[in-house]
Amino acid sequence: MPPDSPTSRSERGLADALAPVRLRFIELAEDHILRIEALRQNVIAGREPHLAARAIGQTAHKIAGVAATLGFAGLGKIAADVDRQLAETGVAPDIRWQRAAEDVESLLVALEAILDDA
Amino acid sequence: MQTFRILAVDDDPVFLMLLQNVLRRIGYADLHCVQSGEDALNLLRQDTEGFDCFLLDIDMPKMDGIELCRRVRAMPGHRQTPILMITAMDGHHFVEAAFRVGATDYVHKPIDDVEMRARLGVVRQLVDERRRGHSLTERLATNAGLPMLAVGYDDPLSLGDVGSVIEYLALENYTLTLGRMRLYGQMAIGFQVANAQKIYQATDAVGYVDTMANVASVIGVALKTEQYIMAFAGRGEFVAVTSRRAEIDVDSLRVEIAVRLAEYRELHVGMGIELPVVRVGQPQSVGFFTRSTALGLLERARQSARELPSTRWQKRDEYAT
Repeated sequence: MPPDSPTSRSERGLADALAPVRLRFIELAEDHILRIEALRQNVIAGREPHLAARAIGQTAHKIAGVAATLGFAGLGKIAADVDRQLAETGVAPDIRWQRAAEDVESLLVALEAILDDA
Repeated sequence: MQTFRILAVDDDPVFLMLLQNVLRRIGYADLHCVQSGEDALNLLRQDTEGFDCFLLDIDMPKMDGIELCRRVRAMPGHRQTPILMITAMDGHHFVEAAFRVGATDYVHKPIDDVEMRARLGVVRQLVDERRRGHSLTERLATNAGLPMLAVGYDDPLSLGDVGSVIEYLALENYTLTLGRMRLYGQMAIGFQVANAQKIYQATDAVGYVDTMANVASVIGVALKTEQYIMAFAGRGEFVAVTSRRAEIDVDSLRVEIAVRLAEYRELHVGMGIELPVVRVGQPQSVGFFTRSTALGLLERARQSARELPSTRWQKRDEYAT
């Protein structure tokens, strides 16, 4: 696409408009990583594991709500998967965690990646 | 163009920043944001300007969006203010609960300009129509010196505090949320007040709305289930959506509605209004493999009540009025 075509101009305009929000999101990524990691340790160590898993789900929910719009579609997808798995009803909490654990790890990796790219 | 004042409630400050950005871009600059249900209610209690629309996140700690929606609806100034719920892509079960407590529609997270523009466009149109209606009401009231409400015979009315009765637009939006499987599990039943036009002509708007609200509450009791959602579609027509497994005998339902309405006969005679005669359509549902749409289902239900041939029982009911 030519760099000055209307579409690319509008996309650039959109990116410019979203820049402050995107910056704030990246700033918060570090908090998210530290929080999720601490909660993950609580789950593994059996310190109120269900509450900790639920709190991870809530953080993932927040990330999933904005990531794709800010240009982090992959991160948004992983966060949405974690949110869905940890909120699933009719499944025992232990099973829910077993199913989500790998995606929680992927979520941490994806958050670290956006910090590395920033 | 009049301003369109929006209150957004979400516990995530980044989402609120993003929302502000998106809404400004699509022409909605008058946005106010708070981060909890408690803050929203405090703001509304002190607010004097009024809001035209609410955007409520469903998944919030302490007071969730559904409880907030219920409380906002209980405020006299916001019984009709459009409420759009904000939900994650797979949060449909929460959406259903939100419709039951008065939500008008919903938008998905992550938000995008196209969906937001479309949903808010419909809401804005609704608000503009209501503003025109209020303006006409005020003019008429000033001219006649009487309290008046501008209500058209064709208008899909909000019937206030009748349980499980939501706005027709909200009922349409609710059925659109149902996937193929869940739509298959539902049925729609149409009701028509056969003499609605006569009642409309014989009374003022307040009397007409009260009469239709009364009919709605009688239908609700006669349905004998709490698992239904109903709306008034205008022209004396109601549509109820309930589980396909509900045991509905149309004749018994019609007779029970007539008997219960007959209890109000003296009141109606005193007001010089005919007793409503309610026709009950055949329950409508969709086949699992057919391409019936949700909105088509509602229309078929209304059509079924409309086209009902006059039966001996109906003639008797109509004669009895």
